[in-house]
Amino acid sequence: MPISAKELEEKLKNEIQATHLFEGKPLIQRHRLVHSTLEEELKDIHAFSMKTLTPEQWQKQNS
Amino acid sequence: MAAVKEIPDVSGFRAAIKENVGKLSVVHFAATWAPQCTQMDEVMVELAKDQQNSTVSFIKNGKKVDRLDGANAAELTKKVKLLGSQTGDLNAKLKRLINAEDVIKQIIQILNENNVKYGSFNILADEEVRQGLKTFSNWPTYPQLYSKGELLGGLDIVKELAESGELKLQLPQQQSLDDRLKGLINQAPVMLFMKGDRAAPRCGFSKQTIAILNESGVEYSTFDILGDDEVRQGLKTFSNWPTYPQLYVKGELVGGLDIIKELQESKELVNILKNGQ
Repeated sequence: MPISAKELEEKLKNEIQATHLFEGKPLIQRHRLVHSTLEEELKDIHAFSMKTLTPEQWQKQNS
Repeated sequence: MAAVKEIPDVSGFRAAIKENVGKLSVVHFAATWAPQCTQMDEVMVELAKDQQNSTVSFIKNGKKVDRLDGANAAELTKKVKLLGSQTGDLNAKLKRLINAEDVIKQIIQILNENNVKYGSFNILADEEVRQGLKTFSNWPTYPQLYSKGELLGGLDIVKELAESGELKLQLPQQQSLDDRLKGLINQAPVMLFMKGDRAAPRCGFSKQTIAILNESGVEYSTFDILGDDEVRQGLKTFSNWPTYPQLYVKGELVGGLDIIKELQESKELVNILKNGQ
C-alpha cells in the first residue's frame, strides 16, 4: 500500500518528537536520525530529500 | 529401422518402452492443440522449424537418460546422434556420474575453504568442450583446474596443493566485499557514488550533485552504482546510508544531495572537499 504524506508526517512528528534533537548534531547525524525513524517506509520509497532544521534555524530562515 | 508411433495412453507408453529395450527410444510429449507440436511430429521423421511447447524424452534400457525442452531441431539431431552412439552398461555409467558428483563437491569445497576466487564451466552442457579440452590439455578426466591459463590438475593434485598450503599461494584470493568497498571509497580524495556518470547522470539527484561539484572547481571521481549491484547494495549497508548519490571525502561519508546543498549554501563545501571534515 503506498505511503501517504500524512502517514509520514505523523510518524516523524511522533518519533522525532522535538526537532531540538537536531541541535548540536552535524547534518549527517540529523539525516541518519530521519533515516532510522523511516527505516521501514524507506524500503518502499524510491527517492526522497529532506531539510533538517532546528527550531532556531527555522525561525531565522522565515524571518 | 526407425518408426514413429503415436501412443494414446500411459499403458501404451510403458508397453512401447518395454518393446524397445536395447534400442534408443525418442519420445515426444506433445499438446494436440499446439500447431507447433504437429510440426514436431514431422521433425521426428525429418527436421523442421523451432518453436515452444514441446518436450522430448530419451529412453534407453527402460530408463530416461536425457531430455530436450523446446522444439529445437538442431539440438534434437545432436542428442539423437550422441545418445544413439553411446555404448556401455548403464549402471557403470550411472556409477561414474555419481562418483563424479562427489569429486566435484570435494574440489568446490577445497576452493571455498581456501578462499579462492574462481569461475566455473559446466562441461556437461557442452560436449564439444568436454571432449576437446581432454585432447587439448592431454588430461583424461574432470574436474580440471586452470590458473592463469595453465592446467594445475584434477582433484588429487588440488588436494595435495591444499594440504601443503601451496594452493593459497598459487591462486588469487577472494576479496571480501568490505575490502572492496574500502578500496573504492578511497580511490580518490573526493569520490562520488552515483547513478550514471558525470557526462550522463541517470537520476535528478545525481545530476544536481554533479552540477554542484563542477561549480566548486574541486577535482572528483565517480562510480556508477547502476553498473554494479554488489556495490550498490553493499555500500548502503557498509555506510549505513540508504540512498544515492553518496559523497565521500578522504574515505569518509559526507552525505547525499541534501547535505551537499546545505554545505554549498553555508559556504562550507569547498573547504570540506579540499580538506575533509
